[in-house]
Amino acid sequence: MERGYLLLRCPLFRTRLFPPFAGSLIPSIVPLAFAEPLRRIVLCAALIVPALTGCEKSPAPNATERAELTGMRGVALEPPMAKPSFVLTRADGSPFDFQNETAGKVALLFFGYTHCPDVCPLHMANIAAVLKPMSFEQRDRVKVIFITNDPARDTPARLAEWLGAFDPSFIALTGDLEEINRIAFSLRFPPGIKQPMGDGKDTTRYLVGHASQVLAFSRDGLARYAYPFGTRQEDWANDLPKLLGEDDAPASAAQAAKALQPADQLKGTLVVSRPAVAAPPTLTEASMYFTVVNATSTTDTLLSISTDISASAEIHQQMEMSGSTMMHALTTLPIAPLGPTALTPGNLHVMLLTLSRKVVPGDTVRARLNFSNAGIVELRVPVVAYADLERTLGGAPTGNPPFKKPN
Amino acid sequence: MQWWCSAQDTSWSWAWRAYPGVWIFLALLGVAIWLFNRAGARAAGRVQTPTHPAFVAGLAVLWIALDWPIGALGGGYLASVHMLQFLLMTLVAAPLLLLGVSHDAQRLVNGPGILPAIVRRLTAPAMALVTFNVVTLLTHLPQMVDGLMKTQLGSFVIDLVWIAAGLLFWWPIVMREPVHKRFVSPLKMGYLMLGVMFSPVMFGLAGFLVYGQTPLYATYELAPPIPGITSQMDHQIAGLLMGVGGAVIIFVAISIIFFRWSAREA
Repeated sequence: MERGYLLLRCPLFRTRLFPPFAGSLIPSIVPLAFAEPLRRIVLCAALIVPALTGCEKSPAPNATERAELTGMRGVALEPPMAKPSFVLTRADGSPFDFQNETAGKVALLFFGYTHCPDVCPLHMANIAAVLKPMSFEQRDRVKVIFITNDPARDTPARLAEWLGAFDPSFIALTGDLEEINRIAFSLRFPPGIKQPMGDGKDTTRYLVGHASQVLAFSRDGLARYAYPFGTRQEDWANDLPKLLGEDDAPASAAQAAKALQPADQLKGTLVVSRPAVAAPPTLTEASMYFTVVNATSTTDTLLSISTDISASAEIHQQMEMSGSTMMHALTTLPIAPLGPTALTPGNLHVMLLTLSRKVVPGDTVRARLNFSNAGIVELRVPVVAYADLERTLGGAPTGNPPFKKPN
Repeated sequence: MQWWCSAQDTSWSWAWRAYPGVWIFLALLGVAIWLFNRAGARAAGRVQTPTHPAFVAGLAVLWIALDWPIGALGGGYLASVHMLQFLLMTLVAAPLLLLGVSHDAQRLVNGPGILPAIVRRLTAPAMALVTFNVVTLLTHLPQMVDGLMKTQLGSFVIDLVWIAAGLLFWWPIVMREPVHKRFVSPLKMGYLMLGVMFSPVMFGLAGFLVYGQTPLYATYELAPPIPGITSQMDHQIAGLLMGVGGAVIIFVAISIIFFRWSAREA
């Protein structure tokens, strides 16, 4: 058995840093006399730690596994939730219309209370820490809304002071408890439940049981992800740019190739990744490629495509017939469940017809993909030179070999 | 009641809590060293001498590091206090405890048998240096910290490993046996510098803690917050403690070695 094998099997050591230390690096960086004792120390640790921590593979996917599948670390909501309509009161006393005030922005909605000892301050602190290094423009497009579950104790002044300590731009809302519970219920959240502390004689000392998730509404007004207690700053740092839809606008073809790896666009549980438009040699047509990963258990269908540079777009299938290669236009494209469907050169691709302008490497094309189940997926597709196309699409899963029509 | 400090999901309170495991451990350690010294005195045919006062100081430092409040805060609330525990155990308590081992007892490691042979092998300067740094690296990996600190047993193992690594690291500096004739004072100073002050492990970890964009340890990032300190700030203090705090302690030790050496040479 390879020495590093035990470490690799344990989820605790899934980090890429560790196995080389266990398997190969140690003998190369220390004198030979110490190499074997060191290996023993490492291997002993690998055997002992799982025993102490109950290290075993959990049947439910963790955040890392979810990220591998979808690129997002939040918990996917099935089906996505629509933005609720309500008006509550800000800490300064002015009314706050949730739908209007957050239109076109990413809204992070959380129900909590200022006397909360753990979940509420942790969520607020972690979101604030991730927003802090972002640009003003980015931060301006994220609204963090904190609705109190405890309006009796959370006076407007207290709400403003408590929430402002994390980030002055966070919005604290209060109102009638029944109305707040109704809003929570509409989002499938439980109402706030008072839990007396101590002997219960002091009626002002109590905890409030409440939902521990932050709901993330995308700019299109749908909440596709929830962030439960335990969401770390690195999870927010991973997901917030994706929620803002900003991590898919590379400046050049080279950057595009580099940036595409983490820039998977996501729609529900259907991922569209590695999109690229090949810089066209003509002014009239261009070809577009991408990979769709359907992580659901049902077949989805790509119904139509539109872009901001073409009058129309068609899905084409390259076929070999009687020894010659022909293009066949498909009206729709079925996306098989639990696997990738790749649109690659020489196979399936999208033809962008009647271009409105010349596009060159480094440009970005806006595309809208309409799926029967997942709905609209908007993409910013980099234009890359043919020479860069293979690199850009490199690693794209190829689950659908070229279709051969029988003679 | 908890017997050892570990991560808790309850908010921090300044109300005192008892950790009987810590007291029992310290008592057993004290008795073990006393018995070791007695065995050394008997083997040498001499009357047992009183224990060096530094030993009591070592036990006191260990008690401060392991018991409430430092033990409890470092167990699951603040990475910076966790790092303070590491420094106290490995760089302060360990050399003081070793000063409590009499020379007669130290001579026992020169005897026959497997155990003395293992001790001789492990306390060779190069081996001790590498072991200390490997232990430091492994016990500060996020997976290890987050995995172990959530249980009392795991937290106990980390503390035990730190104390053992500290004893190993300081053995060639403090102890007179086994004799390493070529390990002279300048080499001792270099050993301390390489082991802590300019250790790539210590510097690397400190760098990750100070300059990391997000907190390294989930245990402390998601711990019930303590007012006035963010997890980012907490991790940065932990990194500074590891880098600067460790260097200051080692600087003191190097100064002592240097002045003793220069006094001897004079």
